[in-house]
Amino acid sequence: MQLHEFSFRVRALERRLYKTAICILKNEADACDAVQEALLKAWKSLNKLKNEAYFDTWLTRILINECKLLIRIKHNKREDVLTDSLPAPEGAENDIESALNAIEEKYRVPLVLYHINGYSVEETARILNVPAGTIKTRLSRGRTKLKALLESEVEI
Amino acid sequence: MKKQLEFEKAYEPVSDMFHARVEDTLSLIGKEHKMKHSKITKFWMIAAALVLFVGTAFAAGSKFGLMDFLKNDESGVLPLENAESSIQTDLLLCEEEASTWKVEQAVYDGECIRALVSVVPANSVEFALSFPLSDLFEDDLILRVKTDQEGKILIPVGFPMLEPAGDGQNVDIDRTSVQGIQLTDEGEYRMYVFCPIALRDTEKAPDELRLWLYDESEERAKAAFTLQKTESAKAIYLNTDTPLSDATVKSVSLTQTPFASYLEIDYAYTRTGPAMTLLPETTYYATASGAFLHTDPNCSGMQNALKLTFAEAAAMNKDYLCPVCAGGALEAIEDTTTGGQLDFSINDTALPFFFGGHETESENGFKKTYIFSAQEAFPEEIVLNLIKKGEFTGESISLTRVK
Repeated sequence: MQLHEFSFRVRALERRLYKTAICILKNEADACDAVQEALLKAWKSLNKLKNEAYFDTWLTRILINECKLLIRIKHNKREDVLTDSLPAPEGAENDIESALNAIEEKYRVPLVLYHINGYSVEETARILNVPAGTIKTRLSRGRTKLKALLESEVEI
Repeated sequence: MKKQLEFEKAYEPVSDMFHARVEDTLSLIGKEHKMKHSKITKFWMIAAALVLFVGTAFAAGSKFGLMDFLKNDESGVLPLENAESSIQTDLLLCEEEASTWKVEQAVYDGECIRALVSVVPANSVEFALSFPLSDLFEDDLILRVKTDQEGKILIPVGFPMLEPAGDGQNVDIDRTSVQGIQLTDEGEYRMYVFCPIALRDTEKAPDELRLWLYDESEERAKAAFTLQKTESAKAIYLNTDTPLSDATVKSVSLTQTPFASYLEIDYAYTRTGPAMTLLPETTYYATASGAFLHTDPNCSGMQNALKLTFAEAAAMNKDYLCPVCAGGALEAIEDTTTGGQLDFSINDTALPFFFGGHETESENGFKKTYIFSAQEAFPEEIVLNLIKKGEFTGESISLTRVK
């Protein structure tokens, strides 16, 4: 894959990358750092991508790993947490965002990948490196939790 | 009336800051693109050197066993020297037309499963070409692999995964990671598979686990095998410090197995509402600025405390009963619906080789498990730092081991 195609595909994926990063990190500044590291790593490791058809899921997975790494590093280096973190602007969340942010990450991320980013169950499974059956279970449980949070006025 | 949930409105729109960072990064990559050829050459020289180094360190043709993978695990979570005696061997052989799969070695220590799965493809070229390489990352331990003419790494189809066989075991596999690969001279792919488990509706890990060996690419289980739990030792730690303002640490335990140490923190969010039951016959103590009502005048932080009758205590309008001396007031769980994101980090001088953790719900609230290198001696003290919404709150508590 040439640079222009890489750039084109990254730009096409930008919205999905943003939603993935922000749903895990809940923080604009961290999401920016994570996507930068993910793009640099993806470009460097492009030769590892055997099938370009998997570019979207491959890059998303790299981004998720970067997000988790960032969380881990921040928890280990508390001075970084104190100086670098910028909390998400308060009051900016809508109902669905608030509800998603309230449920556990293991349910939230599959819900975002599947329902918001539009990946299939198989693609979500590949991104998260878990069997498709597990994704189905987590989607189902996640929806149940969302329903409970949003009470009976919402139908998923 | 019910309305459809509008998922598409979540996390919209993309922030300007994020968009700018994407563009800046692409621009940076573009500037470095001129050096691409030399960089790629360098990358592959490093890769080749790594293969050579590993080949030198471990005699050519020697097969990596589970212990070899664990000792060289990039995460740095090291087993004890005598851990090998706990490894179960020759657990499963599954011969199929296209490949032969073996669970050659595996161990289950109540917290994680570590397995060595070997796959011998009948036709390595066919297998290699159809595999998506999204599972390979820089921190995976890639000892030796085949490359194609373009220098891309070739791996056989089908990474092994493990799944609980049957729903009655009250266990979920949290995730499956292939964290190491070795291609032998005979064309056998030896893969180190790591799976943390999560207990469902039970506190005690089962003594025996029945597992499916699952082929990710075919999305089907191949065959099942059984693992016995290894020996382990457990120590309980008590909070002897001032309680935290935003959380109650219900229990902390450290479990040591021959393969790793696991620190488990069971905690709950503190109650934010005023609901609190005061007993009329009880004398309470409180400071003017403190959040707690105490029943022990010598409890932590009680300098200049006021002695209060039931009526006076009620009039103080404090939010909480002290979890140390008054007990019980912090049982309510303010769960993640508040966006609390309460978490802990550990003073890593007490327990080296911090690796990571996974969080689950527990009866009390939430349970966080951290994984460290296996250790033979329990530390006397553990210090936990309280993190809230990703930021260190400045609050720490010391926990002392119960003899």
